[in-house]
Amino acid sequence: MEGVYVEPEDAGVAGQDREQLGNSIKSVPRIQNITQHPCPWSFPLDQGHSDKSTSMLCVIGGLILLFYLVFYIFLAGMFALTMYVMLQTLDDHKPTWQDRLATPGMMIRPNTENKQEDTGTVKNNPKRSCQFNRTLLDECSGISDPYYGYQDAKPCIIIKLNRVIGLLPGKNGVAPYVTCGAKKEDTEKIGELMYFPPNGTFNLMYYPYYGKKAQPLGANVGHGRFSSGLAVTSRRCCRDPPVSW
Amino acid sequence: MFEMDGDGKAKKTKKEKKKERLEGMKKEMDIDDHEITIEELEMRYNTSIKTGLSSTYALEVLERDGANELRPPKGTPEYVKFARQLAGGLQCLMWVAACICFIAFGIEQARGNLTSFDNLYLAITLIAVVVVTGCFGYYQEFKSTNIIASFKNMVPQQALVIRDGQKNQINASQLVVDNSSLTGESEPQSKNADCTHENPLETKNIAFFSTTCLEGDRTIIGRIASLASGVGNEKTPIAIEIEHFVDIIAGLAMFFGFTFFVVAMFIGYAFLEAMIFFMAIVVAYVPEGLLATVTVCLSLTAKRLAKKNCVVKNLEAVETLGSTSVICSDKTGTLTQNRMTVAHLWFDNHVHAADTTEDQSGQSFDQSSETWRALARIAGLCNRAVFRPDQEGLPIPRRLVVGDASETALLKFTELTVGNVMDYRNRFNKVVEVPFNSTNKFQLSVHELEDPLDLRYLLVMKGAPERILERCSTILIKGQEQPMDEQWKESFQTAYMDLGGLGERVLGFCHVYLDEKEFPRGYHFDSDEMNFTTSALCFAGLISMIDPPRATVPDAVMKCRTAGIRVVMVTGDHPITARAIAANVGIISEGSETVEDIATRKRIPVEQVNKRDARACVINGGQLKDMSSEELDDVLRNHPEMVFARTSPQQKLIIGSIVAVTGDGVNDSPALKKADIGIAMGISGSDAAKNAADMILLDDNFASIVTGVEQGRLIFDNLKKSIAYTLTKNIPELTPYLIYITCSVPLPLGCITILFIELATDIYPSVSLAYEKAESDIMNLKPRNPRRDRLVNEALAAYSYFQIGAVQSFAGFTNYFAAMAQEGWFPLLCVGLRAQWEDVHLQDLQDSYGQEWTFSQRLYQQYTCYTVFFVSIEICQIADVLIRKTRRISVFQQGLFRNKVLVSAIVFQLLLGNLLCYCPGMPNIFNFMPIRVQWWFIPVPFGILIFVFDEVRKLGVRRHPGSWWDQELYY
Repeated sequence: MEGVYVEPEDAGVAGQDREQLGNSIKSVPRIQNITQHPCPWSFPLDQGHSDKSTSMLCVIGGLILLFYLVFYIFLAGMFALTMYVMLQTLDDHKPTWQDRLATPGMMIRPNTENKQEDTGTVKNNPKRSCQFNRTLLDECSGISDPYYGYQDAKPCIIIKLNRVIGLLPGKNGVAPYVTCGAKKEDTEKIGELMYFPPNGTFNLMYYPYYGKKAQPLGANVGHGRFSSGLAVTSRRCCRDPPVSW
Repeated sequence: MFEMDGDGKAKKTKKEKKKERLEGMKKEMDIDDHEITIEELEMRYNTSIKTGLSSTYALEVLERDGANELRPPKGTPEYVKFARQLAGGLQCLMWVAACICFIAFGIEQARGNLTSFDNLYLAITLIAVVVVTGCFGYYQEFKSTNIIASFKNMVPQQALVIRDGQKNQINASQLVVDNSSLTGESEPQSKNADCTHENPLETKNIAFFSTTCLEGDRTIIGRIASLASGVGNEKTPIAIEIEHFVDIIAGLAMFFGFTFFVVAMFIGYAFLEAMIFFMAIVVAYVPEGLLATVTVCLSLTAKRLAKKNCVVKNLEAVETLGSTSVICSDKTGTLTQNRMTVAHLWFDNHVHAADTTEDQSGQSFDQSSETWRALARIAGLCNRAVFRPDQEGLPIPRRLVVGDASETALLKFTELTVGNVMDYRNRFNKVVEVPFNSTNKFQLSVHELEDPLDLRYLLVMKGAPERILERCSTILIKGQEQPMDEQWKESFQTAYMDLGGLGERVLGFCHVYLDEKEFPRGYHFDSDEMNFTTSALCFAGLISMIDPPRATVPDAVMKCRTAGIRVVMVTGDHPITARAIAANVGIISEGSETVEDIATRKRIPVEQVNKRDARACVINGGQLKDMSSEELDDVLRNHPEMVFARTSPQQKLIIGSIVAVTGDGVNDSPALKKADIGIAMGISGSDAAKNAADMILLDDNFASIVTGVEQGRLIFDNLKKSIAYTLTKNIPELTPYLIYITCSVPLPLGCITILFIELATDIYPSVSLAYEKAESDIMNLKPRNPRRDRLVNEALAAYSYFQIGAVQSFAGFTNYFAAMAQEGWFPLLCVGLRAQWEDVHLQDLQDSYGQEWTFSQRLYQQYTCYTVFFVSIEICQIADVLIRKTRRISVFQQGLFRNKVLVSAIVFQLLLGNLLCYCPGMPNIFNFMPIRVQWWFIPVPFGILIFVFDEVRKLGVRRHPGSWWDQELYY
């Protein structure tokens, strides 16, 4: 038994009936059937075709494309404008917020890829910069021992305080320093510790950092040049490779 | 393989068999019991008219065929019901997404990335969402099923049977002789020996259910019940809509996923990486929160309906009623009160209208006439119906009566108008009576008079008016007997035709005082011989009865018409009665004519009438049987006002494929089941009907349907808004990932954050849209066209995704880049930064200022970006929920704060957002960072833009209906 479905609209008399029912009906005349475009560029969400002329639909399709074009240009413009305004509010020398950098990070790996040369000059414009010579790291500088003591089971650990603009480490003019110790189970295995520069202090003359713009890196100045740094090395290696430090 | 094929075949044949059986059932039943003679019948069933069955044989038959009960419909096992909740369209999409997540997680693990559990979390959340919403839906269904279960009337009905020659009351589970629930007739028909109709259901000489005929599931009613359970469940319109929209979502997800898979490959990502991107995009596109939103919205409406006495068994049925364009209503019990009531009286040459209202609140007629007194006396005396004892407390119309429908009506009528009929009858001692039979077509009784001095007998008679008239020589006018001349006969004819034309059952009443001499006291009256005067009687009047429409129905029908819904009446009654009731309740409106009416008016043959001129149409079952489905289609199209008369249950099933069907009897249940939404009556409805229906009107009030329609339409509109709101944020959730892939920026939005947007902050606002009031007078609009007015159409998707969603994305990225830049990462640096940014071993990545960041610092910065993006989406979604309040009219017309739930939802959203941002411990658990207050305000201009843009859109839609703007931007 086939089901019978009857569209009320199609029963022409029903329409009249509705008109008779009074003016309270607020149905707004809408051209139906034009929800799908046979135009190639229209978005094919639904299958179905209408009898309306293709050209008219393409006009509408064109209009809607134009609308989207204008709309996105406007949005992009607004985005660009807000970006521009936002960038204008930024200080060239100091980030607006340093929420994540309250505690500076530390690097513990010697970077052997960036061979540093101690020659060359330091750009002191507009802020003065203090030069950090590799020789300060002595045995761990990589000058005399390119293997940083790893071959002699005396590995160097280079500790670097990450650069953070405006950071002044230490309290009351006392320079921050590093002391190293072994983990409990490794106490016996660890040998004598050596600090370069001695006492394991970070020299306060390197602080604060004024940023890339104020203290641009020189052409021949390598990595870590303007940060303070120190190296620790021990006589005997701990049981595990030093990476696990 | 071969085995599988074999299985398939076996299944198919089984299905075919079932189908055949069902087809067989749909065919008319082949019973000739009503056509054969009584003797043959007695032989066939081993019974006799006088003595009935012997109790031993009855027991034997009972044992053989089982009790006269319908086998309870096989309930769906609970786990199947639950599984069904987990297997909807959206649910399936989410299962697939969860699987994809597991695969992605596996790939990540296999590649040695042991830290990323995001995909696992996502998969678990997806499954949890499906299961939780499944439980919710299951609970809803379970609750409404319970309500229905409590309705089952457990009181066994008693029946009067002849067993071993004695009249016995036996439990109805052993026998029932009420056809009402079978054919929809308003009375247990008087069963006599004539074959009145070839349709076994309409004929008068067969009592279904009787133990002598067929028992239990082998009765006709049993066949109907199994026919009902055999009819497949039709998909609800909302299910179709959701499927349609899942198609759209899935299609778009695949489209985006594939596009960016290709893009990623092109950029140079590894295949596995591109594969993960593809999966992530597909998952990001799944609107996790939508399922919960739809379920909650529907159950909110179901709850609202339950308060108005509509219990919805199937959540989706809530909306179905809203899209209903045709309501097929069973007449008896739904449109009418299902009790015969005296409607009109004709005496003193006037038609008097009786009060037919259910609560006797209507106007009564002038009762001062002597004729009326005589008529009331005849009606009271010539009546075998009696009230059941112990019912003094009940109002008269509700008292139970033993007797047939007409007599019941007369008894109640006289009890109401005169009062104390029982006592009255006792005072007029009955001497003899001749019960109604179809050859005489009258009933008479002879009584002694109340006055002991008056020794005359009074003969009272009622019956078919023309038969009564034949026997009358005088007529009572204002208490005076006048000779029955041609003039009176003519006015009698007119009155009779008038009342008959109203579809009412007309009875004539007459009496005579028997001559004292001829019939002295003690005279032996013989009811068989009729050895007394039965002619030259005195005509008293006509009383006509009808099963009157319920008081609320005409109004409700009118409202349905205003709402563009056709109400079609389907009944087993005679076409004239059907037409009269239809006209009474407004199904056939005043001034509409049927083809036959036009033919009579124009005095031309029926064939010459242009069928399109006739608004109304009454089709009887015989015609319907012969119609092809195209013809039926044509008829339904041409005549907006339809009545189907004399239809059998099987035919009700044919008509039943039109959207909504209301009914109460077992005979309606196949149609109820087959209809898009079956509505059963809660009080008078049979269990079979309630089982088959999707919705139950607890108060049996047809007007509740109108409420249902209104709520259904409202929820459709509001669901549209909710879905539009929910879909919008999919784009700002997706674009970060796309930009992340193509521009290699640090990831702006993480998947846990997405889940929080989808399942925490945005759920309440999207549900709150269900509380939105209707924008316009929805009850004055046409029902939606299921093929054109989709729940999710192209305009809605495009507007949500590519316009509002785009604005939201821009808001998110503005905020993202601002937060990055203000922390030291300028936009241009961000582009292409991804590889270094995500390098766990790179502890000194330089930002735009030359500062060095460790990996964990960068990670927390990334979380900050997530939070900032989250806040942007939230702020834009507040604007979004405000604009979604209306689709056409201005938000200010609707009242910005009128929807209190929505306002509280916005407050809730903000509070939850703040909690997520600023609660300690959040960064490490849910990747939310306490962000700077300023970043809350960066998206505000975009929110305002959304609001203004939408107001402009609505203005354009209102100002230029039909324009390209309207077509493309009105959803």
